Amino acid sequence: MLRYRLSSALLSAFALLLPGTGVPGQAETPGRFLYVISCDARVDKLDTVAGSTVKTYDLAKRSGKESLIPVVQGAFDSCLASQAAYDSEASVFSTAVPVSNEPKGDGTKDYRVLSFSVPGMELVKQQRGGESLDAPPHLELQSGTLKVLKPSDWLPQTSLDLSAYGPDKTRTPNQILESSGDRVLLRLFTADDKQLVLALADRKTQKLVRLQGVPTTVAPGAHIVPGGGHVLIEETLAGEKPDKTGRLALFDGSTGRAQKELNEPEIKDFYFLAVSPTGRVIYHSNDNYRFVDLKMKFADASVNRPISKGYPAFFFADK
Amino acid sequence: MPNPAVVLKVDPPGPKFPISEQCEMPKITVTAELQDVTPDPKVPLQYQWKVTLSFNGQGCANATQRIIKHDDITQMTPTNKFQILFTQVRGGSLTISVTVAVAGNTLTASTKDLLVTGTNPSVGSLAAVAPPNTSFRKLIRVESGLRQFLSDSCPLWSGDGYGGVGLCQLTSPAPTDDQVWSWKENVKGGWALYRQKEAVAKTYPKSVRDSAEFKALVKTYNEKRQAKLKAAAASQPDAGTPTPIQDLTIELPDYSDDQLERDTVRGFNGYAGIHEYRVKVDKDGVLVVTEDPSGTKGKAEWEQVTKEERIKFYDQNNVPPKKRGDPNYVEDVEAKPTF
Repeated sequence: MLRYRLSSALLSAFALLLPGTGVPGQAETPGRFLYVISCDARVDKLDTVAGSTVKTYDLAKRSGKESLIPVVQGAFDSCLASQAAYDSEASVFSTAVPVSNEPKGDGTKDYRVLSFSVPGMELVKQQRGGESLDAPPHLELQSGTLKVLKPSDWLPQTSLDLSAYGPDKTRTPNQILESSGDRVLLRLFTADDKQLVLALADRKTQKLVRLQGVPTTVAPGAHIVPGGGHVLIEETLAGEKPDKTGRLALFDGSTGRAQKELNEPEIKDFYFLAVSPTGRVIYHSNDNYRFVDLKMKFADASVNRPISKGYPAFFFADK
Repeated sequence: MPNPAVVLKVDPPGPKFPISEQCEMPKITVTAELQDVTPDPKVPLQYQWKVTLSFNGQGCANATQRIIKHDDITQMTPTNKFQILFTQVRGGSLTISVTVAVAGNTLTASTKDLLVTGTNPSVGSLAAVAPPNTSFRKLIRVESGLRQFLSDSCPLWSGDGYGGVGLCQLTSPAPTDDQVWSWKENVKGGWALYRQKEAVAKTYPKSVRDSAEFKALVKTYNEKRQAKLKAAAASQPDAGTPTPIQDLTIELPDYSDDQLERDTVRGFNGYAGIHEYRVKVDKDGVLVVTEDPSGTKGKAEWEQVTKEERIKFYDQNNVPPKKRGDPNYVEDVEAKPTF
């Protein structure tokens, strides 16, 4: 037993000194690194603690000699990489890529699913992603197994039946905006269709908490944090053109009340990307990133959006 | 002291030999004249000819490292005249060589500084060849200003350095050697690409209808509608047992002819992940629907993606500037006159 403990301790100490496994003497921080996969199959690795870009990878150059991702000069056709399904146990992420940039005569394409190691970004697996599809396949990790679904065979859950959720236990029509852990950020539809009503539903406790005093915003400006304990609201101007004001409000998911406010004018011209488990709100415009420190830590859990259009694919990893 | 030699005379003399406006290679006849040597009339002479024609882009703006060659022509003739029969449309540096064994001497000669050059089509010639599609013709104006060649010795290469070339600025897939030097082949390639993009644009509405995103939008629209109608029914003074509200069946139409054409033009420049049209949603991301008076059906609509919204998409999806194409391409094309 003592022998096991000793070797285990030695191994741990050795692991801390290995390049790429963390800073010597410092344990890995859960969800510290953000990997952003762009439409043209590049990966930006960001350190959310240091607030910087660590490295950029071109997946086309990391898929071996076979050129498994089309190399396109100038403007490409459809995205050269779609989705990022990250398996944290295996430290591998998978993405769907078209076999060729040019579509077939009927306008469809064949797809591959490529899996890369994290953080090495080495190709570890390739599989067929479907033939003659008019959109990329949908990738889903189910109990550690990667499922590749035809786009027409996949339909995300877009609303919750709230009839069992207290305190009202009413089947209020709603829309799932985002979810993480057991918590689901909902938009509740009411008689006044101009009013934005936001609530957090807890699937475990079957409780619904409405957010109170939400600043002017639009549905795409509300974000659940990893683990679902809080909701971040990006204030916008009223009217048809909802420009961001730079004001951020963080709501406590258990009380529905505002807990923290920040004024970050520099994010006005940037696009929201994610909230990290390390408590940073990440904004970007192309590969120009901004980090806003909420000075909090959140659970190392992924945030799911039923429809992730408008966002590049991304995931958080410890390394 | 006699100095046996062979000298080449080229007809026409050059040094430039233009490919004709109709993409025909020049007709060149070469004569090898023997000097200071008298052949033995009993020994038939054999003239060994070699013609090379090669273009390496040197001196041409935006040319890539690409080398484009005509297949070497080699031929043996019993007489001193040789008419070059080109089998491919190519331009560049032309070298004609001859070797002949005469009276115990092996004599050789080569030409220098000859060029096969390109000729831009007149608008009339182009109009006679280009398919009679207004958008396609306008697009050629935007792409190249109706030019295959920047100068007689240089094809018109794209300014982005990606090797796009000619009237249609064919870039991806990479243009063939024929498409670099024959404007007719370039137009043919451009039209094939246009038709391919048209096929993509035609299937796009169906792919959107079948998408999870559209189905989710429909579901959310119906949720929102339920809430409104339920509240309205409950506010009626004589509200009895509420009748169930049926979800609307929401149709997303195919493209109109005009939309199809514009989306095809967008595809020609490269969608870079976003088509010319998208499903219209409000600022909260809820589908915009025109409801049928019957209360059972509704119609979603397409909205054109503006230049600003397109740039926003590119910024949101990390599409680097060199991979975006022209965000205002369709408008630029539509603004041009046809020919």
